Amino acid sequence: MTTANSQKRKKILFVDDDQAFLETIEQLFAMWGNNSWDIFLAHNTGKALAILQQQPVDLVVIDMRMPVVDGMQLLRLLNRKYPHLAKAMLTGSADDATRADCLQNGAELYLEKPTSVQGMENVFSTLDELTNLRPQEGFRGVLRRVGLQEVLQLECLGRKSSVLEVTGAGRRGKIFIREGDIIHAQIGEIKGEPAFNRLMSIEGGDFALKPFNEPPEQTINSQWEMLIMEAARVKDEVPESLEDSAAETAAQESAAELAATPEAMARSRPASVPAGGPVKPAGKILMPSLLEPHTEEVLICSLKGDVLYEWQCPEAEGRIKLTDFLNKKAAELTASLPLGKLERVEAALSPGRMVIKFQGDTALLVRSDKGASEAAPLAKAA
Amino acid sequence: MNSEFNSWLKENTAFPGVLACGLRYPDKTTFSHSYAAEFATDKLEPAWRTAVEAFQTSKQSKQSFSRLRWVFDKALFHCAVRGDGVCLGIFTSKGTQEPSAESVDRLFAEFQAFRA
Repeated sequence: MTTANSQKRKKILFVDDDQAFLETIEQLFAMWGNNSWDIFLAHNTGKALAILQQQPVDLVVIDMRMPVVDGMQLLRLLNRKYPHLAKAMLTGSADDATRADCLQNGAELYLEKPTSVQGMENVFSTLDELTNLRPQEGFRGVLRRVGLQEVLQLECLGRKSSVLEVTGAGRRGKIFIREGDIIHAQIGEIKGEPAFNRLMSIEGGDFALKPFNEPPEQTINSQWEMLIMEAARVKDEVPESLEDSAAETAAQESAAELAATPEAMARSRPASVPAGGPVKPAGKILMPSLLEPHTEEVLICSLKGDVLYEWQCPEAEGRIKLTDFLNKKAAELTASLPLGKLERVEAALSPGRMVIKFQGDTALLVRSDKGASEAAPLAKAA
Repeated sequence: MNSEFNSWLKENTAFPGVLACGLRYPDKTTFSHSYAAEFATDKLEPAWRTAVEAFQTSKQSKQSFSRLRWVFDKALFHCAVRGDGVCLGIFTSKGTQEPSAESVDRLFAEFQAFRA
């Protein structure tokens, strides 16, 4: 007999430092999900990233208030590393400003943390509905991680029909693909191949692959291979002033983001993106203000030596060796002295401070240019 | 110099919350003093060696530390190294018995300034 289990199982990851809350969620949601939910639990950011590294999930539900890396920082991080991933935020005290901040940073939902079974059931229903909606809406991507060109090639090679909506650098447009042929493009009043070339010149932004609908007219008849090659040629000739102007427009629209150099952006790439990969910013580009103003460097690594995330960490290999050394030495010390488990190591630098937090199989390293130094000693700074 | 340094350490670490302390000199000789039975002096030498190695490793990773604090769930291990290579380590309690930050910072400031 077929049951509800025949439908696709949903993989939901909950991130919360409150173990009791996680256990309650696991029990209740598994029951209400009628065995159609695979629930993953993470009590900190490192664990959440490790789970995401191992397997894709349909939805991540994040508690706003967590130590070390709070929910908002994790949301921003996930929004950059997994832009396609549905994200929902839970908070004990909702307010409009934080709600807006969460939604702006990629959260689909901003919900009050339930304190009753009835409240839990409401949250469950909302999350369940969210996971039902997403497959019908296409997917979202970020051009700096997946090239627009690659998406087009996949659609055309697969002889698919779709509409690619592209937004970036203050521009928005559409490319219509019918059975593998690019038949129309439009950006503002510009149509046809000039519009296609303009859209393909956008270096950073968002796209959404939508179900195909007939365009108002067919303005392109060339083969897609030729179109992509021509767009690449034209792109090289786009005046830098145009890129700067567009970026400035986008910068004005996004007060929460800051202008950064291409070098900084390249350094800020997620660990999974190779240095020579699709990250290819030109002119001014935008980088989310992920961390506190004085943060200089962030590294999240597994204790096996894998980089899970790095931000402005040019010496990642050295940092991992250092982290590994400190962790191993701590284990030696705890073997002979009643110290308990290592929580973190704090180091005073000249100037600044470095903190390496150990949790489970992962370590989080943060270096800031303010904090402890000779003038502001370590114990007081902590 | 070593004996004077050892005496200075013993006199200046007798405040609540200190479990054990010690010095390691560039010639690899050590001095250990314990205020808690669980921190027997014969078990402390590896800690002072670890402290020295941590500062050496930090230099190799292109990030020189001037002072380190290892936070365990039951105790803290503070350490620092001077320009002449003398390394100070001190274990303190954590929680209600934890010494004040000011007293620990003052001890390390005096350690850096100490001249025999």
